[in-house]
Amino acid sequence: MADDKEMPAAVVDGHDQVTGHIISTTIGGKNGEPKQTISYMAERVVGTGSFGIVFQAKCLETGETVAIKKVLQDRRYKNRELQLMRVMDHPNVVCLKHCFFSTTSKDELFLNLVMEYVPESLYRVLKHYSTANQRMPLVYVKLYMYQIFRGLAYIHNVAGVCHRDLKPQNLLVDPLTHQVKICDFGSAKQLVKGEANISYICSRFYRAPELIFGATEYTTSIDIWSAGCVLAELLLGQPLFPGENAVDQLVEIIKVLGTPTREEIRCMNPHYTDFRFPQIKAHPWHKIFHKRMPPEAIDFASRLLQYSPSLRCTALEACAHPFFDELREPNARLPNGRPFPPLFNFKQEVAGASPELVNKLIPDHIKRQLGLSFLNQSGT
Amino acid sequence: MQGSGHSRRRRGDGCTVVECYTPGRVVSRWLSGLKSSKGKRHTVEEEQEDDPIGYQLAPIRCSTKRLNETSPETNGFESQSREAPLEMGIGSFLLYLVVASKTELDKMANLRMQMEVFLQHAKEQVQKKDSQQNPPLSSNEPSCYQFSPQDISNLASSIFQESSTSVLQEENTECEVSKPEDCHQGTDHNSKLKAEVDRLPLDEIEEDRHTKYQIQRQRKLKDNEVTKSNVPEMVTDERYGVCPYELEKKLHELLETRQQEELLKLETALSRVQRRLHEKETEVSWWKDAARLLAQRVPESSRSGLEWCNPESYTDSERSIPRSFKAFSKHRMSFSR
Repeated sequence: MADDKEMPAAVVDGHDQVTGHIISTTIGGKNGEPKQTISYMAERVVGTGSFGIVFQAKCLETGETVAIKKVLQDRRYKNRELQLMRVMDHPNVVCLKHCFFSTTSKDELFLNLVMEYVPESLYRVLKHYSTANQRMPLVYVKLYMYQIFRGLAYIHNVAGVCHRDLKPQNLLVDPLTHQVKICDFGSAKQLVKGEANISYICSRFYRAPELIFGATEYTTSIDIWSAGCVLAELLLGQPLFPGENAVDQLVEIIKVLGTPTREEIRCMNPHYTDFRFPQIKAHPWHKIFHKRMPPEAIDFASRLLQYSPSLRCTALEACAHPFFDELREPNARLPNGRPFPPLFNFKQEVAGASPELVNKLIPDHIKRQLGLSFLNQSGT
Repeated sequence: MQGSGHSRRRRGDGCTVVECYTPGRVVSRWLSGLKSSKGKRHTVEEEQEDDPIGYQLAPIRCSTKRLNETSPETNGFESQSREAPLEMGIGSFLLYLVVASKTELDKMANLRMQMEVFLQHAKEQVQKKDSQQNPPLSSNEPSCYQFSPQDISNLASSIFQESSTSVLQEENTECEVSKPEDCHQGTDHNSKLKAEVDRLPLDEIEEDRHTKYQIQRQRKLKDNEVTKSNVPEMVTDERYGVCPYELEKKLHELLETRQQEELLKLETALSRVQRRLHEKETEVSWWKDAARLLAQRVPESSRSGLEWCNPESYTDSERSIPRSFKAFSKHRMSFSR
């Protein structure tokens, strides 16, 4: 379907109601390809927001289920989300299949992003466990977090993009294969060093402290913070920093990490270094989680949730953390005995990484399969 | 012999004998001993007339012995009583113990006072802050926030350190009677006790800390659920970073909450120390009873021992009871607190 990713063909659609409606569009017609009509029948709304709506639909020609994100398009600008999604191609990033414009009777232009449909989100999975008053089994926490970081490594390193709204709602989970896919690039942006960006992005519980401090020159490490919050939430069964507003959010962070030092404040936003905030003692990490929490999980969380953005580990370093060692064992399987989804088929995301890091990332049994014995030597 | 008969009657009355050994009594016995030693220069007959009920002088003579060492005038007197050094020893030992335990009790009472004053002060601080709802957004409010959690914990630890040391001293005095196995090296014992004080009331809190933390968070989340939809919304209102004054204010509030928690912990610790104090007081009163019994037994046994080896001296001692002693026994000092 890669050839479908071209400028969308406009299809006039005079109805606002989604469910049961059929939307038809044509694809192809370039480079001598035959034109093809595709019709989608909208089935149900799966998400709404300020951006527009997302609905589940079925392709009448192929019977395939898709998710269509319908957003109001300003005719003056290109849609950034579309531009970014077009270049993304990774097993842990949701795939754009097709896109088209539609208009309404009010002459509003909508962009329809047709994406692969993944039935569950991490938010719903978490809710399932908390409703049952259970914690998510650690193997799933590892499996999901690993894939999130792998997806982030790709987004950050290959596409050079910062997601800027990472949260359980935007992490899709296939309940059968347990494959995770990062979705919703509506806030994502290619960050350029030295250029200012808006700080009022990211959902509150997952906002990095520098964003709350109003920093405009932040890096992709804000996604690492968000991923750290997601990790803590998977381990705890509830958000780690449940702030009611921006200040409260910062207070929640300070309750756990303690008052940031002057140097840490400088790293986040130098404009706040003149203020002397009351000294709140940090709450030890091991007391935040239950007693049987493995130390590597606690260590991992503490490495992600650092005030200083530069001290947070990168997405690829996170993948190599001992917390994920269980996934790299030769006979590691899902609890139901099925194999894990593909975890080590790295491509561009490891480009530029040190041999030691690559050596850690690819387990020996995979190296043997791939005949990458040289990595063994170079990685020591 | 009238005197001796009287004294036996008094000896039969255990309470009377024991209560003679209050600090004041012991001192008075020394004094009366001095008096009687002067009187000893007269003839025995004279003595009998002067002090007809003075049989219990025996211990007093032992006090004069020590006095005699520095005053040569009474030298000749020493040979007259062999039980004198023993009684003297017991007397001074008991005096020391009584004084020592009283000091310890005073220390503990002081400690309690100190703790109460501190808590009162801390409470006042909290109330003062409560009354200052919506304080002006200024960073200079030193008077409102005198106690940082660090201050409180430092103060608390210093108080506990003091309390444990005083308890230790008391135990050291006591352990000869009660539990000799507890008499370790001072520092070792001290640290053990401190650890115990630190651990006991706080441990429960420590245990619950994780759960408490979770509950607090759950409550907060619930509140959030009520006020807004399940999905956290994108932040759109605070475009330029948080207001530092508001953050400062919120952090002060957090500090206050933590201080209140600390206060609660301290109060728990205080009640524990008070309980310990009560226990110690009970032990002290028990020890006093033991001392009474001891005091009652020792004169008997020493006397009988002397009787066996030197009956004459016993007779002499019976005769030499000073009048002042009887007079003093009437002014028994109550040692109950």
